[in-house]
Amino acid sequence: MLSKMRRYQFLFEELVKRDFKKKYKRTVLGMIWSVLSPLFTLLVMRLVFTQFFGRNTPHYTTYLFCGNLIFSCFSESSSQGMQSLMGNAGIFTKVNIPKYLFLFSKNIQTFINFILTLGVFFIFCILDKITFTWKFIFLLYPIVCLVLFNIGVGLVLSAWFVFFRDIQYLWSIFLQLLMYMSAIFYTIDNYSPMAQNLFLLNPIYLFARYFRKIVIEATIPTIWFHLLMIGDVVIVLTLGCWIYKKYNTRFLYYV
Amino acid sequence: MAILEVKNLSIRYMTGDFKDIGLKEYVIRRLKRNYHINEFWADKDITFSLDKGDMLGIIGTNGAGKSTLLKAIAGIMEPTTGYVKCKGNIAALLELASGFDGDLTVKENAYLRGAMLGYTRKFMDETYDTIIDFAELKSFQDRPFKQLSSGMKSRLAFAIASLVQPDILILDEVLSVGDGAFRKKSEAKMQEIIKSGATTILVSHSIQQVQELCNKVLWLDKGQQIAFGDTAILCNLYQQYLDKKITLQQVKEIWNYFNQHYDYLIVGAGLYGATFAREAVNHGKKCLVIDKRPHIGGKTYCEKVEEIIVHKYGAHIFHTNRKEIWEYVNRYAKFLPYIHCVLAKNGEQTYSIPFNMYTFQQIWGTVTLEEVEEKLLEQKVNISNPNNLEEQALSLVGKEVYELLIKDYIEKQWGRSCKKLPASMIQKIPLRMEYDERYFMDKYQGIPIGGYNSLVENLLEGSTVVTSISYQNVIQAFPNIAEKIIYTGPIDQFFEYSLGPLEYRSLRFEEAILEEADFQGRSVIYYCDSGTKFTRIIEHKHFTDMKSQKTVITYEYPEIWMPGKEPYYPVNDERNNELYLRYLELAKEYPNVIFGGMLGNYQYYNMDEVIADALKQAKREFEIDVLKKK
Repeated sequence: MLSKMRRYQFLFEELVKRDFKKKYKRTVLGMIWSVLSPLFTLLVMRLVFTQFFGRNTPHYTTYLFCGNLIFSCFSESSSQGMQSLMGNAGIFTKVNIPKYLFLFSKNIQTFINFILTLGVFFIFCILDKITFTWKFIFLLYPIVCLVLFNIGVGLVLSAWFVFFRDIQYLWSIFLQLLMYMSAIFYTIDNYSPMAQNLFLLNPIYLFARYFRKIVIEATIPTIWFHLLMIGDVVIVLTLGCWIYKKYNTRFLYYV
Repeated sequence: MAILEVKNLSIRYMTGDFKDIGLKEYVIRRLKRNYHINEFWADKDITFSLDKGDMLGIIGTNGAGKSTLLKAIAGIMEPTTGYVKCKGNIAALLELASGFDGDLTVKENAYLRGAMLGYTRKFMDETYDTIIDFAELKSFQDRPFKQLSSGMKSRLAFAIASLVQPDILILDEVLSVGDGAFRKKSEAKMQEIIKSGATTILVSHSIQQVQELCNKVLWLDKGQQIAFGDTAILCNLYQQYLDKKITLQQVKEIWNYFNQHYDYLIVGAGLYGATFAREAVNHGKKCLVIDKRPHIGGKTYCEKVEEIIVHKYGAHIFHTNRKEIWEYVNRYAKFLPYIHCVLAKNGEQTYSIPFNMYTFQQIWGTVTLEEVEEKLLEQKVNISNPNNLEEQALSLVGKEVYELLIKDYIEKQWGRSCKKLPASMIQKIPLRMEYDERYFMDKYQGIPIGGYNSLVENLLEGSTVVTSISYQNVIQAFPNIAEKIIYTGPIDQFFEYSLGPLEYRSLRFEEAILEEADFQGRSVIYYCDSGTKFTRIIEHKHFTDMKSQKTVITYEYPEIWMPGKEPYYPVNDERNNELYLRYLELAKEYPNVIFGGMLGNYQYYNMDEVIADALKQAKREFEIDVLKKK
């Protein structure tokens, strides 16, 4: 594995470079867009929803931002990851290289965006008078989980996308639904305990909730919460790797 | 030890399955009960192996399964059945120009491609300048890739790819890039890689390229392996197949023939080869007869034109005094009796030849033997020691006959003045002091019904015959194909002209179909004046009295022979005879090769002599053989 990584390191770097260059080609602001676009979403939500949900929620801006941060990262990573295999069909049908490199490269990009946005997030936290505690270290856990989760979903989606192009439309609808179902701009306190438990099945909600717990409530979630999160990650990752392994040499029949 | 082994490799594509047609179509077809999966074998049962340093060319028309096979070897695809075993790392350059990114600059693309090929960054940094210089794209290096012309793209691709140092290199249509100059450069580069010891697999639609570069060829067609083996012979067959001269089925058959072992490989399907083959087969031997011509029969070959049997290589009349030879040929073909009589023409006047009483009557009006002898004495010039052909002729027949029937004809024939030809060429001119205008005096004369083809076919029955293939091709590909070789081609060619070429005389034929029943009333007329460039006109229908509304005539032009042209007659002068003897010395080192026939023995033969010679050789061969068995 290690030797393989070294072998493809150069290629991986070049792929990442390429994806970056392509993404911001001919743009004036370049990477700043990656930060601006979640900020605009945040702004709109803040303006629209404060009237409805903001009154009873302490640190509502931060609350919103937590949800947005997680969701936009997932949304960007999954929709772009979906295209990663098809978009590089010209390459993997000609050269025998590990196909997941394309997805990893895309994820590196979204991860960097995430980190940038995270920086802005912390600035907003200061503005929102959040007190920074040592518990912030624990944020690393949901971040790692999110990255792995994104990779898992990306693997599954990019493989499916080769077989059914319908996936891209289905996925955009699904993302819409997901946004509303992940308690990004509202709290779930008003739901029945049964319904509140249902939210725990949504990994995006879990990630966002972990962030909020640490940042807003300054409490570390339970061990069960941690296990639930890692469980989701393991499931998608396993599924993704299995599909890639199974179809590794068969993707090119369908491109 | 094989570096790459492909065994029984098959690759199947599934079409029409659920993933291929999409969900909607799947449901519709299910509902219509029209859903079925088709399988398509892109490659079926491919087996071959390569050694270190081999260069394999894969040929085949579009859709032959070439690219799929390469993908399987490169590990991009997995064989459905069978396996690919290889020792060493593989670099596959498939459809080079694709896989680049149009938005990146040339330099960025170069790095990306280098990375894909498994180079390190350090290596790319070091060699980037070399690459861009080789591709001649220095001034373009910061331009977006999509602005390059397709030729430039391929050039860059090749320049990067050619730096690979793999054990096995796979090239798909890589070499046909760029303009002529770059092509040369890229081919030179390829040679360099090949010489460095890499095993290379090349797919190319240029047979010429495959011929120049490859030492082995794999021929695929619609996923089937047609043949795997030596380049020259397979390219020859492939070219014939492309020219629609042979079918795939025939190719397979021929290939199968070559992959057997024979007692005799007979080179040349002419009379000598065919006769020998007959005897060999009669003695229970297995013979493979090959001919570089597209037909059997050598120079006796006939073709039907307008219902007329046409002797394609000039008039052939079978004549012999030997009863056993006459009986022999009659066993294999039905002969029509035919007495060959020709005429010589000078201006409007025709003369009987060979010179006989009729001729002299036509020239001088003489009737009796005495008159002729008197006239000849009067005509002959007394030259005691003739220095050239003219003087020789003058001393034999005198001025009038010489100028009328000899001078211009001989000069046309040899392209030289009679004064410059040696006197020895006509030791004597036969003068028949009787009224006999037969061309041949032999007891048995005739022409087979339907031409010579049936004779040769019957002689060759029981032997395997492959035409349009050269000896060099065959022996290079299958050096051990036969125990012995009967070689009836030019002996100097066998030794690749190592002592210099022997000289021959050549002929050129021009055929014409005339809309008249009869053109000249004779099968052959000699043209003895300098006004015509041809020496003879053959009217084929007179050979066996063929009925047709039209007539086919052939003009015969003498030609200077040079290597590559059809040799007709050996030029047995002192120099050539001596050279021939030296070739014979060389032949002693090839005890398994028997030289025969007119070209193999460098000697003019009539047909009966050829057959007699072949029979003599056969007798010698099989009697020795019999002794050996004891």
